[in-house]
Amino acid sequence: MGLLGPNGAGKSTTLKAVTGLLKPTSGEIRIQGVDIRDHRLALQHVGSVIETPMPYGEFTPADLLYHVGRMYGLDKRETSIRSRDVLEEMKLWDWRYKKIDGFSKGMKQRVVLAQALLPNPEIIILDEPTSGLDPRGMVEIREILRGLKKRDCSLLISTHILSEVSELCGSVTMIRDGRAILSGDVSELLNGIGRGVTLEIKMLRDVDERLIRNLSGCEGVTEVDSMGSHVIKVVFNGTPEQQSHLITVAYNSGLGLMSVNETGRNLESLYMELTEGGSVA
Amino acid sequence: MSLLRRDPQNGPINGAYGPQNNQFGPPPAAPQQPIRSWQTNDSYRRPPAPPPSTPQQPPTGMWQPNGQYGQPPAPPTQMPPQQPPTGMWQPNGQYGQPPAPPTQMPQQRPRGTWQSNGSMTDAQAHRDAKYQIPSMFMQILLMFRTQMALYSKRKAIYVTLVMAIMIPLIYMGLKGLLPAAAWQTFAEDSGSGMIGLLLSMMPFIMALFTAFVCGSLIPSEFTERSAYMNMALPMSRLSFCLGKYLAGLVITIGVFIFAYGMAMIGSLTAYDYFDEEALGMSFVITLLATLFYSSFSFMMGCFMKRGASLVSMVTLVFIFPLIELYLYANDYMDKDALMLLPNLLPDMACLVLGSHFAASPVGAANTFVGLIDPSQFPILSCLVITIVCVVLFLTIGVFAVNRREM
Repeated sequence: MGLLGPNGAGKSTTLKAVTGLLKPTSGEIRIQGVDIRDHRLALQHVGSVIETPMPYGEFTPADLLYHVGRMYGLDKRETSIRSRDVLEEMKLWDWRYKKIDGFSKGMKQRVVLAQALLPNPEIIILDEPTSGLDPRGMVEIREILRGLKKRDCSLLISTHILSEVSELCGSVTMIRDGRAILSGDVSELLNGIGRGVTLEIKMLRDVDERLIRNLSGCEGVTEVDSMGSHVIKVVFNGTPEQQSHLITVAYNSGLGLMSVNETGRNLESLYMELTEGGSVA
Repeated sequence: MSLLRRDPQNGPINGAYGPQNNQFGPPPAAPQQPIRSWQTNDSYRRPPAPPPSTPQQPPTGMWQPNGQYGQPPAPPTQMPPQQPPTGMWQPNGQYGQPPAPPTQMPQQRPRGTWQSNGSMTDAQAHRDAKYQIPSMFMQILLMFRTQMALYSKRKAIYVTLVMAIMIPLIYMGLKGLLPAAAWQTFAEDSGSGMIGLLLSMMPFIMALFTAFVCGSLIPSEFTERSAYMNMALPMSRLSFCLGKYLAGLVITIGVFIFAYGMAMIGSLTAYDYFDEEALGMSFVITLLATLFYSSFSFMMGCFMKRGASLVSMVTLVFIFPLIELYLYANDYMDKDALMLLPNLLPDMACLVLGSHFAASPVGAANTFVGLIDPSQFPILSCLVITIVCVVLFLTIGVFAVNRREM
């Protein structure tokens, strides 16, 4: 499940409350039926990364995972085996005896993810796992997140990478000002409203009024905007035959059709509509 | 499944007559084959009739796992004479030799993962070994061990130990420089007095050390953001706090045991013996002082995010003693009450040994005024007061961490 919302919407607060770092002002939170106030039992099958925690810099990844594994009640041997598993998964095996202090931010984040995955929890909670990382670090974490999909677990993630949410999550909840404004299955949200597709038509020569008028007159066209002198943006919601006719009209305009780029309704556009007025993530 | 059903198209399908199918009428001319299969398209179908020339054989075979009667598998027609059919009936329907015993047991669980060797699914790999969250007491010990491991990797601890070595050496150098009369102003001329004087910096050092070791235990977790990892683990905050505090306490006690050892070595270089009873009393008082100072510093750290160490040290070294001196000077407090105050325990530990000086405002004043009489020290009363204070401080500290929102 993905948690989306602008800054200050309450994403991190929600996840902190779920993991017992904050006490809810009202209501109660139960994880697998156990009240979160019973911290030890409620979180025994939960692995989490909240607020970009920093592992102890003096420790090595092996030290840290030993500490975490023992805290979950794994014996030394099981901790050792699982540490190897997760460190290999995070591509940190060769760094297991290096001090974390010397790691890059992306590597530290991978160490933190490793400790969250160590007990192979049934629930994984990640709060903006790519926050503050450089592009390379983001790519690394993104690969790891894709790998999480193979695990037999529930994933609750708050992130500003909307493509990751649509790729990783089956359902999404958008919140604003502490309230859920939209919740449901990702595919249903994207397809349910039926706003059609957007076509970006690029012409060789300057777009004129005649072409815009002709395109507006095509069936299925709901909106036509000129984006610069050579590109027209057409919002289209019609049949494939009507779409073919639309492209034919552009081709026959005599202005030289260069390309037609089709973009569907995606999570980002939906997100921007719903969180209008707030900055992303 | 009952076979006595009606086909809506063809009437009674099993040819039965009577109450079984609730139909009246003439019996069918010829008995029909019973329906044997229920098809997935929800229609009954008759099985194909057997060839008329083939009389139906009674089922003499075994009931096979596929639900059919059949012949048992034929024994092997050509068995080697040296291999009589002693094998087992294998699941594949063949006689065969029992599997050879494994020649070598695996030494250890295969390295790598269920992912690489495909031996099991994720769920099997991890959920099979259900783990049990340790008890609260075990988690305190685990947190204690983790914190001790952290201390072992911090240079500040080793620097402190080196300082503990250096301080007696400095005093030994001073003894050579100062005249004997001046020396006796600060300490008795005995082995114990020498130890007391060598440890006379203890009030200041203890406040400084506990402030930086115990006072920073909780704030550093927040400034270094490791608290967000630890507190999201299945561990109560009580375990987290007590485990860390115990580690700080043990380190502090360890450092002062080391300091005592160094002071004894320094004393033995100048004197042949020392008062063991006074030394024992001094050591017990030092333990109590360590408990009080460390718990106070820990409590201060639980309330603050930054600067807890400095506030704690200044409070213990200056603010408390100055207030007490003010109260004593204005007759709000007498000498007996003064000796009950736990924050003056490090001073008392030095004075019991025969030193006249201790590095705190009260200890310094005592050098010249004689505020404290060590022979009248009420150790039992002070013990009770100290324990009450320690429990109170720790309770307040844990309460503050529990209430702390992140």
